[in-house]
Amino acid sequence: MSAIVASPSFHVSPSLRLGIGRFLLLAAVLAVWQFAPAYTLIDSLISRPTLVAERIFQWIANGLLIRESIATLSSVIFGLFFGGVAGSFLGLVAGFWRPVGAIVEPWLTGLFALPKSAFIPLFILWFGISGRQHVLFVATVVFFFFFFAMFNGARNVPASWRNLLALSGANAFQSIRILYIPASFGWLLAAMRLAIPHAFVAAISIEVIASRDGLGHLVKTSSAVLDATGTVAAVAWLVALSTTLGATSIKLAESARWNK
Amino acid sequence: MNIQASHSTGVFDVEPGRAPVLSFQGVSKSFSHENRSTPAIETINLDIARGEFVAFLGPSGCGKTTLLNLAAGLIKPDNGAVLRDGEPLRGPNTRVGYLTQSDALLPWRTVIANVTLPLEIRRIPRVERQARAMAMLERVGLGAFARHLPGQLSGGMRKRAALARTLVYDPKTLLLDEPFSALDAQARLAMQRQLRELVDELGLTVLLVTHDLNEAIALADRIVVFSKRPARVLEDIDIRHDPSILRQRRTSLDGSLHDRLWSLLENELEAGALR
Repeated sequence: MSAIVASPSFHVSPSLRLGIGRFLLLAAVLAVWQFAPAYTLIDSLISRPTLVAERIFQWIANGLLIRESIATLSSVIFGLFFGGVAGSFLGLVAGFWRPVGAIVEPWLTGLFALPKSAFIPLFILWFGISGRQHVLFVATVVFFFFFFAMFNGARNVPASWRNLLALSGANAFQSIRILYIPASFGWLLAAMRLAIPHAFVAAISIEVIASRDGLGHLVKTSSAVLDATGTVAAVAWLVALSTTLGATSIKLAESARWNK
Repeated sequence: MNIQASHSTGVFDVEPGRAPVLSFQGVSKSFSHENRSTPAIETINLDIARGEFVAFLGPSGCGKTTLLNLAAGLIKPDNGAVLRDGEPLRGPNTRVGYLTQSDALLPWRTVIANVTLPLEIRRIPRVERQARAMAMLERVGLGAFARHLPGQLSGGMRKRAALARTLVYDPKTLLLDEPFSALDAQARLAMQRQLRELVDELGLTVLLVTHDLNEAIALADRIVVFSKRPARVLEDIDIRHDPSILRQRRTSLDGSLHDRLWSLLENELEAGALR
């Protein structure tokens, strides 16, 4: 028997170890949640993981969760799209043409600081409670993230790069396409990280306040009848959805990073 | 000391009737910062003839870079005029190649995509710009690295990629602002030799800003010495280029030139310190 023969090792890769750690944390929290309420009076107020899971499966089976998710997701995705396009475009314009930037920047900084949800009643007054109005509200919220990302991205393009383009005789469109947009990519990625969860929060807030559908509506109708299981089920589903969408889109964006 | 700016027609100006490639005519420029205006250069008169290799030598921060930026058309003079081929310069000078201390390679583009960039902007067809960029990369010895990203290259290689990009659109004039100062001694020497070869081969006119005496002597045909800020021309010396000057640096001729230039700079540094 040679000493070189390796003893059976239970070597675990660092990423697997991290995954196991995270899973154990989740399991511990769920276990406490599952078993602790039995000894207290709040049992019916916070529900239990098994009840929540049961409810989620029930809702998936009868199609309710899918229907409401589509309503919320369409507000989020279209809102992100329109807010993202408008914000990036105006941010680029304001960052590229300095005088424009100097004029609009303080006003937009002020508007950014406004709590947008305080305007939901006004939004309803102006645009009604249609899905279109949800998209508009989400777009308004995410607009600012994209605006400031592109604005700062464009303003931080180094002088040496700008000179390079100028001495090649580049016009404004060439400079924007070749230099400003790719140079702002990192800023846009950072904006996306912030904008996706905020888009969900915006969509849910407006659905809670005024809507006939969407996950926010589901949260509200459940909590209105003191249905803790339903409320937690809707919120848990929402978190899963928002995290998945966020992670996927960031991954997609990052994979495109240096390809051009 | 020769305070008066001297007009040099340049030793390589073979056609006397022809306008200089670049001409600074009574050019002044100040920069304002926090409501205070600081003059960077004062009444500069200089002619750069076709085919000349001119070094601008002066203490750090004396305004040499301002002169190059004026020649590149990136800034406008307060007084006087910058002429290109006898015509006043309006807007960025697209006939020059400008290479600075920063290589300004775009990190998201491969080396070849960086080199094709000036051609892309000039709307040269794709096939042609690829071919020209590749030829230029081969010339600076980076052919094998065309598909690399700038972040994967060493400082010297990045500098050569930047040089290839500067030369790819055949500018007849090069503006170099301490281009090799960030390199180590060996890489710098190799780059200097390569630059001089390319310049001779392509018949370029060069304005090289440097505070390195040896670099000026090794490369230039003519050395213009500037005072401390605001920059004025102190001396304008023609030194004929000798292809073997890198080896000749130790000769007595160079030694005396070196001493003369050094004493000029030294005076300026002392004057600055006493201020």
